[in-house]
Amino acid sequence: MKALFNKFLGVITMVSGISCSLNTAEAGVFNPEVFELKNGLKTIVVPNKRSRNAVYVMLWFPRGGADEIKGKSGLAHFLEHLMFRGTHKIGPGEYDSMINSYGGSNNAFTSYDYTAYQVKISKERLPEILSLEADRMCKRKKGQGLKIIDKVFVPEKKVVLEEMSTRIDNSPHGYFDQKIREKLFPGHPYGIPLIGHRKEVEALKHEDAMAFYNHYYGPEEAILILEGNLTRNDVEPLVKKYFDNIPANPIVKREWPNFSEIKEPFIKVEHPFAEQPRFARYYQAPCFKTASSQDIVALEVLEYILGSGEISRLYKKLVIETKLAVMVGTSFHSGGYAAGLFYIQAVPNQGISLEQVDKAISDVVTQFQKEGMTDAELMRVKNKLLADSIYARDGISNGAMAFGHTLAVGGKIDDVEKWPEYVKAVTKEDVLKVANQVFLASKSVTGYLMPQGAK
Amino acid sequence: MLKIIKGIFWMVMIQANLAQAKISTEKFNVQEVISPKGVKAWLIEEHSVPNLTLTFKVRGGSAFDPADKEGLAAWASSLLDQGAGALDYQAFNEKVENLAAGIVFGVNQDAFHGSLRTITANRTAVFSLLKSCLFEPRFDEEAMERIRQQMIVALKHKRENPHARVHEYFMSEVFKGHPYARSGDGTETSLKSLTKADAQNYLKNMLSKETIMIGVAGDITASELSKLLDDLFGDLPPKSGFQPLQSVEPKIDGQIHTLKEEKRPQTASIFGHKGLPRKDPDYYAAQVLTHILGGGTFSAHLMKEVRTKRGLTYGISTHFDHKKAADLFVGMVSTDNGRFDETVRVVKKVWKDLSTKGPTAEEVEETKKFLTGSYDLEFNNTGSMASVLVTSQEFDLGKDHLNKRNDYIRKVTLEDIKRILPKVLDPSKLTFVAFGNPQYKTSEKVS
Repeated sequence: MKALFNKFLGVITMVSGISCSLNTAEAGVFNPEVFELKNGLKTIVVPNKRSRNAVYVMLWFPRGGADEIKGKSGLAHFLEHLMFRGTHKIGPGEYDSMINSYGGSNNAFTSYDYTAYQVKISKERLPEILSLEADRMCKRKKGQGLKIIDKVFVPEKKVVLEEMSTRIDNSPHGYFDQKIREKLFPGHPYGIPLIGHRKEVEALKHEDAMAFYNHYYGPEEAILILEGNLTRNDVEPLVKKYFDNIPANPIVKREWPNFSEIKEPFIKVEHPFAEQPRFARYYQAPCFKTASSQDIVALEVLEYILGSGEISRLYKKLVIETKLAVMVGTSFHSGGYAAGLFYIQAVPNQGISLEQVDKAISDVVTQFQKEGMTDAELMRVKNKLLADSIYARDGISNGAMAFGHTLAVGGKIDDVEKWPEYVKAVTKEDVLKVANQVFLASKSVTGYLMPQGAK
Repeated sequence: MLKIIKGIFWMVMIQANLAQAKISTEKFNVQEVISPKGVKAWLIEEHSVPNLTLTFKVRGGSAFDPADKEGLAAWASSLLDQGAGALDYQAFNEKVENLAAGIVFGVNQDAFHGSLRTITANRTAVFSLLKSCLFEPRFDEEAMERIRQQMIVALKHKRENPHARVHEYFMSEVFKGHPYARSGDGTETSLKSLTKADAQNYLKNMLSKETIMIGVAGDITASELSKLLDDLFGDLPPKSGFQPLQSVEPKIDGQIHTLKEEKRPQTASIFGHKGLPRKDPDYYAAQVLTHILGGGTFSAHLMKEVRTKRGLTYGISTHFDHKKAADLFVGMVSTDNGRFDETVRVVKKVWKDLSTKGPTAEEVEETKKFLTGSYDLEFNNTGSMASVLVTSQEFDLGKDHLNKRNDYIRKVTLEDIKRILPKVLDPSKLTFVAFGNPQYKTSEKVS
């Protein structure tokens, strides 16, 4: 039933075309080489032999939806779309057609904390790709970098509004997720829809996109990651050639408000297309800024023991033993600059109320907090997580994703590289400690998704 | 592409490019491994990471579900990893996790498929775990009821999802009267009727040496694999209990078929007509042509006209759907209800224009570069390598297909494409199936 299980969960933070896990759990020892230019651009070279002739190029700007100014929701994501629609040097659509003519493919995604651009290309084409990326990076000079014209701005906004219909209005799950975040992070940008409020997106102007670009799309905080059969020696001259002369902008300080007190810890959400009730409980969780690397890994172990897979605590109790639910799972995302997110989701069995599921989940969590876990459980999870660091190298993008997600929110190279060591070092006490830190009623919101008109 | 070469910036770039334009295309060494008991697999050895993936496919998907037993193949295949041999559900899952193994089963309409991934250190134990799933599944009462219940609830989830709805409706319209018209997910009634004997019977019919296709990639040698294959599949029954499906002509009428749900803010639509068979001699020319029409990249005509110019959708693309008993060429788009009419008109016009005028020589060359270049960049993990080996067997493309495919694309000429235009694209047959509350004036069929 793994396929069914995956269908129910799925990642909800990303707004653009791809979906990928925020979890760095798949990261192992990649042995990267790192260097930094004087303008601040950090480059990480991730060696990968299985990639053959392909290189995965990622450029991360550690700014996203949470950096939008009030009333301009959806701007970071809209700008991500516009970044493909032309600069002063190349016209609309030419970025894509060039990459395609090399056999490459590209995409991008936006989160609250960062925006990332990715290209898969053959090694020989690296100069062209770096040249393209340097061209669209912000230089704050007239006649350089991104150029937004009406001919692309107007239809692209319609594209984004259609994307909003697909992801939110026509999707009970997307809508439900958005409503819970609103209550979990009141008064904080993490509570504003990443794809934006429709009225605000409709009102966005060229100048808004250019202002965001000018603030955040320089080299000073950017992270360039190159994964493939390469070394620093292969790429450093190229990176210097294209990026060295781009001036650093002053870094704009994040002025986010603190999280306010959660006023509505419980919401019922109705959606016209919901046919099946769902339960969700979201917790504000630690992140790299607020917790030690060892604690972050302990939270990953907690996530696993409690609700990942078919012999996790919650699954065993609710799905196998009591039959109250057909699905239950947990997920932990360390990937926020100001907070992480831990959530529990469940789908009740036929004839079972959300209240029954809610209570059973609370009981399992409380019992875990009282009793902790067994040695056998801990051993099993460690085996599994350590093997993940081998599987992570079976593919071309896992290293780039892990370093990007970690560094863009204040983590370090070692949080990825020494991950297996942290896994080995986790104790039962560590896991219990983080469980007690994260499972606080005052830091959580519980949501019930109901079909419209249901009681 | 010529218009992008402008200004000093690009001159510099092009020079750098020329200096390094020697593209190395490393060939794959695909080995055929035949075990002493006659199990055949294709293998790519790749030892840089200590893991491997094995995938296999066997005739016998949901189209073979008996009448009134819809959902059987999906249900039975979901039960295989719910306890096997001496291991009950709990013990089996503990073992999978302790070995850090991945064992996954699934079905589509035509076939059952499975895959195994393991790190090298646990290889033998994981192979034997997969064997017990296939040959000694327990079908315990608790698991049968639980999976049944999960599938019944999943039917409700499916009703929420516009893409799943339009796809199901498309299949039911286009293959009316054929097993393809039924959903492999079953219905509440059919799922409730499934028994342990049904599941056992399905497995008995499905597993066979005659129809199994196996691909392996990763950290293993041919002789090591040969031994493991014998242990795993050596005792498969020789013959399949499932006869190949009868070919079927899809019902394509050039009309718009609508499944209404008035409150939906968007219309999800599948459109298309008959497709070329995978073994057609013009298949590669057709790939170039259809990529130009709807390959999903921003240079594709549909993407340009529907998304980029008019902002009618977030995405639009087309693809060949090669089923065992039918071939389709279909695309998908979601758009605002009120703009569905415009979307249909634009898609039809693009289809018609390309089918009458054909692409330009430049487009053909650019597309060939993309299709060959991107193929060289695929297959960076053992999962995709193992899968392409199975696909090559499935369509009888030859062991060396991976290495030859780009030559087939390179040989395609503009003349080939002009010649095949009427064979591949037929605007008069272009049929739309829509779910939502689409507004349009064109003649329609509403159900």
